[in-house]
Amino acid sequence: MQKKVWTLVRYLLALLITLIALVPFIVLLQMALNLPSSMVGKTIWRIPDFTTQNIVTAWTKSKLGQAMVNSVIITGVSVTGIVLVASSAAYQIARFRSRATFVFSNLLVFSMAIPSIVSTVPLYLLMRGLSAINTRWGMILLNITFNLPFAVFLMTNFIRGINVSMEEAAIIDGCTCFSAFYRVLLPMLKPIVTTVILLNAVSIWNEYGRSVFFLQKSKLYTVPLRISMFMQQYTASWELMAAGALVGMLPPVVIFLSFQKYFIKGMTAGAVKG
Amino acid sequence: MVRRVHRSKSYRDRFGLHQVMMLPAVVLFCTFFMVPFVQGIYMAFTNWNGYARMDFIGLENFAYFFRDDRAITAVTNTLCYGVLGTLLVNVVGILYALLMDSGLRGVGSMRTFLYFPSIISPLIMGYIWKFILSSENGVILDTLQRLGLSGLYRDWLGNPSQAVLVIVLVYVWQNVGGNMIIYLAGLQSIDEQMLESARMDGANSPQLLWYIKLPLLTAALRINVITSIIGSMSIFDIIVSLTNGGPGYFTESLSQFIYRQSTAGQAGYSAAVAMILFGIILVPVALAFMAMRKMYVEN
Repeated sequence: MQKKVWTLVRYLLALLITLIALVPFIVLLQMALNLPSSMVGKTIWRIPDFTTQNIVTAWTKSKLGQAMVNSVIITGVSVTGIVLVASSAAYQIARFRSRATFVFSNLLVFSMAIPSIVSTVPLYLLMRGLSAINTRWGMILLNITFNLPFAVFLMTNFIRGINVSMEEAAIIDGCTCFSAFYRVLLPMLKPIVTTVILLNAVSIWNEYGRSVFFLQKSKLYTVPLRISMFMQQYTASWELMAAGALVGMLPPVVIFLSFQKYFIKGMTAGAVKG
Repeated sequence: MVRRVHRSKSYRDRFGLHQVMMLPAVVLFCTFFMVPFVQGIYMAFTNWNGYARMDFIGLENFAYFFRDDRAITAVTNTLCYGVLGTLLVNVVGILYALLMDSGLRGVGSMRTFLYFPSIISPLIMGYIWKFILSSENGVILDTLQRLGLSGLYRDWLGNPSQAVLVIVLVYVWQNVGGNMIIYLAGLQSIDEQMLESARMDGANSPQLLWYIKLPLLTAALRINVITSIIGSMSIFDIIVSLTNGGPGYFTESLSQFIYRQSTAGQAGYSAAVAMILFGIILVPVALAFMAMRKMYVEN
């Protein structure tokens, strides 16, 4: 009996914390799906109008589509770059130890303790010197660089957890060390690669602090920059912000739902067993 | 084993591709991270304003920092965000993970929902929370009015110290799911046999938790504590949308202060404050790292 009560209490707690996590999303939906006129007054506790008007307005009036394209390009290329650069670096660090790999991997770990705002001003100068301000490629290179340390950290730990004998066998059979990497090891990295894709795709899609510095042309705005514009004009248009946010959060939600299967597995092997 | 691969193939792979595989990472990291970082250290000792001449002024920026009330407020706030944010997000994260790992059936989808706040832009979530807390038709005000309890409403975002707490809570709300996932990964990698044999020896659930589960969460704890110290102390987006540093500048974090100074032509000064932020974050991170390395050995 006591056990049953305890189980019930735990279910109720689980329900409560889920609700707490979801309340702002319910509010977001309410704002996005109600006509602006019904939002005047106290109307959050009602069935929404289910209007698509806000979404249409947000999409057509503010070039949200253009922002989506920018975000897709920037996120897609950055994440691909991170996976390629980080996995190959992690392979060398995990399998071919030398003074260089030791120094570099420790520098990477150390750099994780440094918030990226610290080097903002000199970085701005560097980017100006490379004429990389207001370019997608500049933003992509920065995204790759600043997300590398954690990705390398996760992947190195993951590779160290894999037995080296398969690669050795491949090398004895005539593979070079490099082809042992991409033929034998890379396919085994699937859980950690999906974890890295998930973490980075979401954080780069949502990234605001760096983009606001380096993407100042409205043609190049990413989704968060575009959405923030709804709130920066003289009157904040909450319903358009919410509609934009609703459209803008679809890609990360889809990515998360499709990759979450590997997420815990990747996290276990990459972060927890370090 | 690594050695063996090395030796057996060294004649063919002396200049193999595997020896330069970290080169792209090294180049990117040095160009966009190390070089600006070192330049920033130099810049911190100059009076540079972003375009004119750069003069070396020694420690003047740092001396000015301690007389700058606004900067001191930003430091205090950053410490508040760091201490409260790290503490809460990890305590709540562990509790969430324990609940999700306690053998309840059908919590898979709940776990997904709990992670949801982490995949939405902090900027947008700041806006939503602002709307929820707003004193003009905000959701909480509206709800309390419906229940006839409008006397309970406070303009939390209008009061500096309460607004700081609200920012901490929104930070926790947004990041607790991510921390939970890592703790959950830690809990699930615990060998079931170990728990079983402890149960056979008569350990009850609190004892299992205290003597087995928590010590084995050290690796998860370390990564979570370190990332949340860094995350909560360099908090930026949430504040921009929730309070924009207000009322006045009373909720500004150091990141936001640095951003404002650097866009206001105070390049040298903002570089100096950035170094101070770096120091403020590095100390707790290093302490956490050493403390937990020690814990690791003891177990």
